Amino acid sequence: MGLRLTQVFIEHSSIVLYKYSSQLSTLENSMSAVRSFKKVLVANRGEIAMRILRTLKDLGLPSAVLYHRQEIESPALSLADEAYEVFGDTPVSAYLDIPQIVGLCKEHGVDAVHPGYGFLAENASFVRALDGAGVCFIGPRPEVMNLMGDKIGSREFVAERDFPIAPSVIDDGDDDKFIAGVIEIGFPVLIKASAGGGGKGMQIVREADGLRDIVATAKVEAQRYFGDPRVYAERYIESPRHIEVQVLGDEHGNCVHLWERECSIQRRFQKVIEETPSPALTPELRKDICESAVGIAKATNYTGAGTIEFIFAPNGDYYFLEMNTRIQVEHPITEMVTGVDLVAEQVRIAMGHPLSYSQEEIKQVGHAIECRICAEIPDDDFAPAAGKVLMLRPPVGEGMRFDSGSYEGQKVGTAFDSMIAKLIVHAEDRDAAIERACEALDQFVLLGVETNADYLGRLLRHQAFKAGETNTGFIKEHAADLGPSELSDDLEAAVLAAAALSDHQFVAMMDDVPYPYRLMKEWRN
Amino acid sequence: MRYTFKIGDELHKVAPRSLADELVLTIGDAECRVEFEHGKGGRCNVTLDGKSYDYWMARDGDDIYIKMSGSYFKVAAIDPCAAAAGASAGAGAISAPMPGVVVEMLVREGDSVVDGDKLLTIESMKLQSTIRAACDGVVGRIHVSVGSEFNKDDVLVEFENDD
Repeated sequence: MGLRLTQVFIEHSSIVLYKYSSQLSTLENSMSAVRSFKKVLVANRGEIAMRILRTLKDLGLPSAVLYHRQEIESPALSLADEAYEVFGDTPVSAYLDIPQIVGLCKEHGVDAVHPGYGFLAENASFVRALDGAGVCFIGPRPEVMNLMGDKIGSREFVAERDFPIAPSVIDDGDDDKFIAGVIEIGFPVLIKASAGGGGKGMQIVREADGLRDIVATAKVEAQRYFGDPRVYAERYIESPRHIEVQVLGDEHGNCVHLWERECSIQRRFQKVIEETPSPALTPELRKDICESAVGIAKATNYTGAGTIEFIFAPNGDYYFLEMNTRIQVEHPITEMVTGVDLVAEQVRIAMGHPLSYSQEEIKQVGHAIECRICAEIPDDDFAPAAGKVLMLRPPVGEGMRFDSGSYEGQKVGTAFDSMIAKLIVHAEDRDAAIERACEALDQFVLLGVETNADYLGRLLRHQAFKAGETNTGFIKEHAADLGPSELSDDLEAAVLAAAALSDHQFVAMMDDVPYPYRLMKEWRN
Repeated sequence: MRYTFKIGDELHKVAPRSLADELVLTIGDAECRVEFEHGKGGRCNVTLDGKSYDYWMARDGDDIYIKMSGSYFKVAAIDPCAAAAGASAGAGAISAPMPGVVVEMLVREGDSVVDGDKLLTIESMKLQSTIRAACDGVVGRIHVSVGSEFNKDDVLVEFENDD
């Protein structure tokens, strides 16, 4: 029984509604054999809370959402049937307060919780606390969460099952053995401190000459920075792409993939533009990487929606990076090309239903791109921006989707992360999707807070992006071409005229000059 | 009287001037014939010497936000009276470039510092940045301490120039 979705775009609203063409009664009937939910709490905020609430409404499930005092005007509050205030020293700490949230579930008769992403979405203690209170967590089991949430543990788990991980060698004190291991990996090799992080003490080595000295220096530095001399070497992948695969698993042992997403355009290790399909994959490679992902998820008996992330080398090699055991920010592009409502599938899986789709039924149709609109100043090294949303006009049109929890009057500050909206487009192929994304960005208006909207347009129009020549260093590599274009004198004059005409004092002063108002039609300020 | 508007770091002067039955603005050194239309839902149109521009505009105090020709512009209106009065008063204060929290104070009142010395570390949206002295001088009154939250443009540290 497939729930095919069609999209209905509502003008002047920042949401896209999903409507199921098949009958919900089918879903209700089959639910009798499994668990049913009386009330589902979305333990999140902003755009993802809105996104989940829309699906809960479509499924006919009573819903509730959390809010912090600062968010009393959030549109999520009116979309949910109920809203519960959470308290904390900071707004973020309120959303992380497990006893408080479990207490709210008990108090209000909530029997299922959707965690969204971030906050408690990958917190096994939260799942156990909900288990203890008899509340269903919409997501994987805590054991799988712990296993795949551990960077080293998950890597070992994957390697033991013969899925590809980047070749590496760990220094156990025997220098000769370590150096032999490094040579076996092949160059270039990345040498880093075992206890390290944040790029400190990392070094790329391109040849065997002088390797012994480099290792000795790396050990001294590791000792100095981290108090632990052990080092670690890993195949270094130049110009890699970030490719991830969406998977769904149910309690009945079924597991499918919903194809890949490429998320190579990143700044500060955070994704900015995502797309599917990846322009880098041949049909054979696509099948291979997607089947690896299903294999890994199956090995963990995965239940729910998850993402297996890979690092993809220019020569077509790919290696397991990590698994995210939650719905991801960029999930809409997968929904656009497959027509599957991933949140509805999460809910159904949590109820104990088998997956709605077989692998053969999940097709990748057309091309989808997501742009993350963030309150930041790209031309000032992506420094965060703050302010008040004074005007918000979502793009409206065929193949355009706008997921946002933002609203006019909203104060954008430091309390939460800087993403304020996601602009998603779908078209028949990549070129058309890029063009549609540019159109959507042109239509989109957000005034009052500086955003990366102009910058996203420059990324999309860049020749290398258009050619599909993307890698995780794209933003740094092309920084010189991605700056703002020179402001022409004509446009500058027009902007200044617009600014002057917005100014009450300036306009009042024009009272002294004879005729201006006659030419200012419909002046209403 | 001329009004001053700031785009980026550049100041521009605009003055209204009328000729016969046209609205004419002096923008910088140029004179432009201007027509203006205020449409539905915040959409506006301005025509300069026959060239037409659609745009969206919103204003918060002296900050004017404009989207025109597919690009965003932030323009600051500079009040001619306030600008003249405030020129010397603000020189010795370091104000917050963005809202955030103080993570670390690296100086005390009365400390002598030189151009480029670190004064304090602030955090905004999980991003830490360092505020440095812009000239040689002595640290005056400190308005914040570790953990203090502040808004954009709040004074953090007063600063006495070494003149």
